[in-house]
Amino acid sequence: MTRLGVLIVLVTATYLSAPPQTRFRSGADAVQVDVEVRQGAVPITGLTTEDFELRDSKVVQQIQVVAIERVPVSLLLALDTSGSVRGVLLEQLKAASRGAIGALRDDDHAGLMTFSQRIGRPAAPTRDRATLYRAIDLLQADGSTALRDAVFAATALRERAPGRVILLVFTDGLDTMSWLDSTAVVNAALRSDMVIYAVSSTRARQAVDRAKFDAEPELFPGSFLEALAERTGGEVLHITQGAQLAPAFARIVSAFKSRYLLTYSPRNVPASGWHPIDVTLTRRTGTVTARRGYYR
Amino acid sequence: MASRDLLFLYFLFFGSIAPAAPVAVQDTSVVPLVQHLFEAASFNRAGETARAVARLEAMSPDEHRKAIDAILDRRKRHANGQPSHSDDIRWSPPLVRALAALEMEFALAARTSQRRDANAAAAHMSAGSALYQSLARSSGEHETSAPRWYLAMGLEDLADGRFEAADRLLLPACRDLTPYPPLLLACGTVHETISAFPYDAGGTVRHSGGWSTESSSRPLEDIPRARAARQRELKAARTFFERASAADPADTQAPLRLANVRMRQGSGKDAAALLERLLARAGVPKRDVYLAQLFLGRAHEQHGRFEDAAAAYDAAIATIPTQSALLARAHNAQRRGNASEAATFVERATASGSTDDPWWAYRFGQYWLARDIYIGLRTEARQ
Repeated sequence: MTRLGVLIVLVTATYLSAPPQTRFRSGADAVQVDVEVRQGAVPITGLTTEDFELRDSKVVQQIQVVAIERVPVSLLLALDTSGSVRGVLLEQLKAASRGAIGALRDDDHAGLMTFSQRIGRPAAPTRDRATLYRAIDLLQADGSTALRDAVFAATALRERAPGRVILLVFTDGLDTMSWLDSTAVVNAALRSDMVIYAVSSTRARQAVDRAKFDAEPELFPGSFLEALAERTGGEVLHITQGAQLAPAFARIVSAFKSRYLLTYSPRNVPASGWHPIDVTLTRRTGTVTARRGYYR
Repeated sequence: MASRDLLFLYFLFFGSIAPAAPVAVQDTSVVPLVQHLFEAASFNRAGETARAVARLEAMSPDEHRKAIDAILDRRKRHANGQPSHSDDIRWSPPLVRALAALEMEFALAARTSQRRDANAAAAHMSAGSALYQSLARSSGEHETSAPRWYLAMGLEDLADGRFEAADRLLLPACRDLTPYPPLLLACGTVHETISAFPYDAGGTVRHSGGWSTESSSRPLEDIPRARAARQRELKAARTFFERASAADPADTQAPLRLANVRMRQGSGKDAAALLERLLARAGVPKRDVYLAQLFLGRAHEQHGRFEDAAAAYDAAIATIPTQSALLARAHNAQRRGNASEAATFVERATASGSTDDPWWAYRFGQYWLARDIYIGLRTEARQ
C-alpha cells in the first residue's frame, strides 16, 4: 500500500477481516477516518453506515463503515524516559505499558519507542509479546525531554507499522531538547493517518492555553499534546500520580478498540490542499471524535 | 562552604571588622595570609576555604585583626586609586591580582554554596572587579581578568540550566566591564536562549516582562506581549553577537548564533548568507561546521528551498551523524512527499546511539570553556 500525503490511501485491493456485510474494496484513492462515538464516557457500539454522515470539504460523501475491532491495529507506545521518570514512576510506566499490550488482540501489533533527549526504538512493531515485554523490562530513565522529535519520529515510522495505528504518548514534562518545532510536528501528524492519544502528568491545560497555542505554538507550547490529539481524533488524559497510568493506558486501548473506521473515495472536493472533515450522527445522539481533516 | 564561614568572610572583607587607622603590617604577615586564603579558596573552594578561615580564627585576636584591617584598608585604598602610605606593604601587581582573584573565589563559593547567596557574591565580584580595574589603571594594559571570571561563572550557570542566574550575572558585566568578545558572546547566548523559552512555563521574570499568564484577566493579550518580549530578546542577542563578531572576526560562534537569531527573526536569507560565509572559512571547529549546516538546512526550508535544505542536512550528517540532523533530514523527506525515505532516516536516527549532539548543548553556550578559564585565572594569580 502506498500513502500519498497523510491519509490518502491508494487501496488497490484492500480486504478487511470484517464480517461479510461490511467487507469492501475500493479501486480509487480512498480516505480512511477513525471515529470514536460516545454517550458520556461510554462508547457506543453497533453503529452502521446509515448512522454516520461525513462531509469532506463540506461535501457529503458516500461512506462505508466498519468496526475497528475487525481491523488489524498497531499500537505504538512513545514513552518519556527522561530523568524525571526515574524510580517508582518508571516501574508504573512499565506496568501500564505491559497492560496496554496485553489488552490487544493476538493479531494486533505493538511497537515501543522511548525518548529522553535521545529517541530510542527498543521494539519495532511486532506481534511477539515476549520481545515487547523484554524491551519494556529493560527501560531506563535518564536525560532531558525531546517530546516533539519523538512524536515526529513516530509519525514517520507509521510507514513501517501495519494496519490502523494508534500512537500512545506518555510524558511528564515539557520539551527541552527537540530540533523540530511544534508546527512542524503537528503538520507531520496531520500528514499521517495515526490517531494520537497522550497521557500527561503536566497540569491540565485550559481552553485559553489552547487558544494561545493555536495563535503562537512556539511561544505557548503547553497545549502541544492537546492540539495533536484533537487534530488526529485522539485524546489527552491528564494524571496527577503514577498509579493512574495503568488505568489511563487501559482506557485508551479500550477506546481505540471501540472505534469505527469510515472509508470513502472523495468526490467533488478540491484535488489538493487541506481537506476539513466533519463527521456527525444521523439517527441518534452522541459525541463523535474524529480527526479534523487531512492534507492531500 | 558553611554559611557561617561565608558570613564570616563577608564581614571580614566588608566591614564588620571596622578598619581603624592604617596599621603598618610587614609583607611577611600580610602576603602569606592573602596567598594562603587564595590558595585555599582556589584549590578546593568549599572545604579548604572553610579550613583557612578556621585557621584565621585560631590566630590571636590582635594579630588577626591587624592583618585583616591592613588587607581591608589597603584593598579599599588601592581599589579607589589612592596612593599607598609610605609604611605600607609593597602593593605589587601580583598581590593585587591574588587578592582580586581571592574576591572572585569567595564570590564563586557564595554562588555555589547551598544558600546561593547572590548578594554576597555580587559584593565580592564588585570588589574583585575594582581591584582588577586598579591593575589596569596602573599598568595601562587591557585587563580581561574580571570579564573572564564573570564569563566562567556565567557559563557554569548556563551549563546547569540556571538561565536566570546567568542573566543576572552576565548582562550587567557586559554593560559595565571592559568589552571582551567571549563575554559579549555569552550575553548574546543568554538572550538567545531565553528567547526560546516557552512563555507558558518556566520563563524568567525579565523574559515574561513581569506579567503572569495565570492571573491575567484577559489572557489572550499575553500573545502580543509575548511576541514583543521575544523580539526584544532576539534583538538584544543580535546586537551582542554583532558586537562580538566585530571585536573578534576570527570567532566562529558569533556568526553561527547570529545566523540562528536572524533565522528566528524571519530573515532566512540573511541567515543563509551568514552561514555560507562561515562554512567557506578555513579552520572552523567541527561542531560549528555541523551546526552551521544544520541551521542552513532550516534557513533554506524557510524559503521553500527543500532540495537545498536536504543537501545541507546531508552535509551535517556527514560531519557528525547526530539524531537531530537525521530527524531534520527525515522531516525534509516527509515534506517532499517521500514517506519511505523519511522512515529510513528516522530508523537511522533511532539506531545511531549517538550521544554527542552539539544541538543538545547549543542553548547552554560554550560551557566547556569554564574550566580552562578558571585554571588560567588561578595560574595568573599565583605567579
